[in-house]
Amino acid sequence: MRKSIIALVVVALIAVAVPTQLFAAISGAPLKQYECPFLLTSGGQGAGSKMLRLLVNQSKKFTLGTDFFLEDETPARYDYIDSGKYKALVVVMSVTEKGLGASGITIEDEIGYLKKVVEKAQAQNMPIIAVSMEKDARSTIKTNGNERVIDTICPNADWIITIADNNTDGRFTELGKQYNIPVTIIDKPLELVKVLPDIFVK
Amino acid sequence: MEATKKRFILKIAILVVMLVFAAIAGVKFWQLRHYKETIVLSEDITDVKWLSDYCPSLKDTWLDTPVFIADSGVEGGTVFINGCPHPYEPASTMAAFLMLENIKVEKGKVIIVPRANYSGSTEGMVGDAYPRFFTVETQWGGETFRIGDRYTNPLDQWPDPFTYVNYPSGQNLAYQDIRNLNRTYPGRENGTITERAAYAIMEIIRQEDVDIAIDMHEAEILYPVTSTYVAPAKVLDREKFLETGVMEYIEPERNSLDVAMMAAMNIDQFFMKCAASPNTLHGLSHREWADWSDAMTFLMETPEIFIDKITGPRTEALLYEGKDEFLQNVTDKGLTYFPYDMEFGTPMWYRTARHLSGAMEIINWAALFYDDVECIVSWPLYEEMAEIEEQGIDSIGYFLKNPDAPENEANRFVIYHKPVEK
Repeated sequence: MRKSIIALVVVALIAVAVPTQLFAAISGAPLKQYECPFLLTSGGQGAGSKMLRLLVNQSKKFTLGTDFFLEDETPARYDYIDSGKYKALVVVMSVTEKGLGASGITIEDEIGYLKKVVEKAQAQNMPIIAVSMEKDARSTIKTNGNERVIDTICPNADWIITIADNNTDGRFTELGKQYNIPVTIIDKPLELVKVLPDIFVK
Repeated sequence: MEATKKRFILKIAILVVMLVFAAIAGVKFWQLRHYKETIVLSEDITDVKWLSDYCPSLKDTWLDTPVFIADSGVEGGTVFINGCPHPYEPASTMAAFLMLENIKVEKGKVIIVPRANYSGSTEGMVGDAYPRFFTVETQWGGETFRIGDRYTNPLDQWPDPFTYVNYPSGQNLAYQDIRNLNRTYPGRENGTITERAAYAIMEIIRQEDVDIAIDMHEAEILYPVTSTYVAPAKVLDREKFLETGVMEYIEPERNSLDVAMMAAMNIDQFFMKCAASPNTLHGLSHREWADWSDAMTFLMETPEIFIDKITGPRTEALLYEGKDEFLQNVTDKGLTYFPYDMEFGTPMWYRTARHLSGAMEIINWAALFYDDVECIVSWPLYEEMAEIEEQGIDSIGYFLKNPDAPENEANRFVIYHKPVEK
């Protein structure tokens, strides 16, 4: 454990001096760039958006509330998008069956909200970055909530980022080809800590 | 007259046969109820308390249970580990037993309850045919442990209501959840026996100033929250609730979910994900412990196919090895929430090791986020156990100590609902 933390710190220090992509295990399309501030939201109300917020914080380059915002709730996220202040919308796609059931909303409700999120982002010319980074946020069943969220968000995305484990069936690669969207594949979510400063420019 | 006499003799014979069956069954129930597990405590265990020390009305009930404390004497964080909240999830208990037998604490304090619902461990699952015990292979033969039920034994708490209303949220839950320890938090000092046990656990967390509270569970692989850390993103504004009755959720001083997410992302030895505790689902540890104390709270689930409903016969082998062709078929069709592979199964050592490493990962990451909760502790971990398994040795048995060995006499402890003389 201690060894892995020390290793992480060493990698982070080296990464300061050398282009970060050389060290992050990344394949597929090259990294894209967007301006700050960007808005983070959840596609499916899973913990993924909070996980990405944590990784953005860990990168030590961005300040929550200034460089980026997180809003998972509806209708609050509509207001954030309508404000026109944000240069990009990051949707982290992962469904929580436990959370959806307990919160009193269904996957149908969430899909409806996400369609409107996409519409509103497009009206503001906000590029959408679709991110799949949570373990088990995939299914082989088309009617599974995760797959429905992917179908709702990805065709409208400007860029798709996924962890390798969520693309073993080539689903995101296929979507990228079908809709002409670049797809970048990372080995592990922690890799994002290193590349986020290259993606979002202040 | 002759026919009447024959019928009378037949009735007596049937009655005798039934009584014999009842006696045989009764003996089995009695054995399960009164079987006593013995462990050998680590030298680092500095104190033993009881749940009834935190809720006196539990004394002399079957919900009383020992609470073990390992205090390094060096100022640091306090960790609480809850084992066996649902006795039919036995890797939770085995992880707690391995911690108790092998723990070394250099900084801070660790509190471990290995059989949180003792009563529930003294019965089987009503209506399910499955074994009462399982045996761990050891160097001195074998050690036998109970499996148990999900709920408090009806002998200790009965009848169930039509609907269980959780206190103080007022949320309606299923009737049998009134005997489910992990639906009765934060509990009541004067409530049902299960609510009193929940209250006592809350009091441990509050009175001992626990910083990190970990609840160990197992789950079906057909359940979405298997192989998962569950932790709250927000906590109840207690002052507001107590003043107005309105439940509002606010940012906690220390964020459990951040810690759990980093732990889940960092673990690469086994599949582990992370879920946020819903604000509106009450009675569960990951919600109520955080809402009614200042501790960071975490629930861990391992994959236990033994409690999935579509397996073949529920045998000791199924519990211990976790190999089942029906679940493999269902997994192949994409219907499970765990990358199940029947070749490997979900063996007991694997699930126990996951809890041991999963808890350690939380403790270490919590210290990285918040210096003042640092607790330096050790016990067997996943990598070590996996290496031992590769040599064909039962890694749980490897780390258990022989309670009958003379050198362990002083540290023997019988797990029961009341102190047992040595």
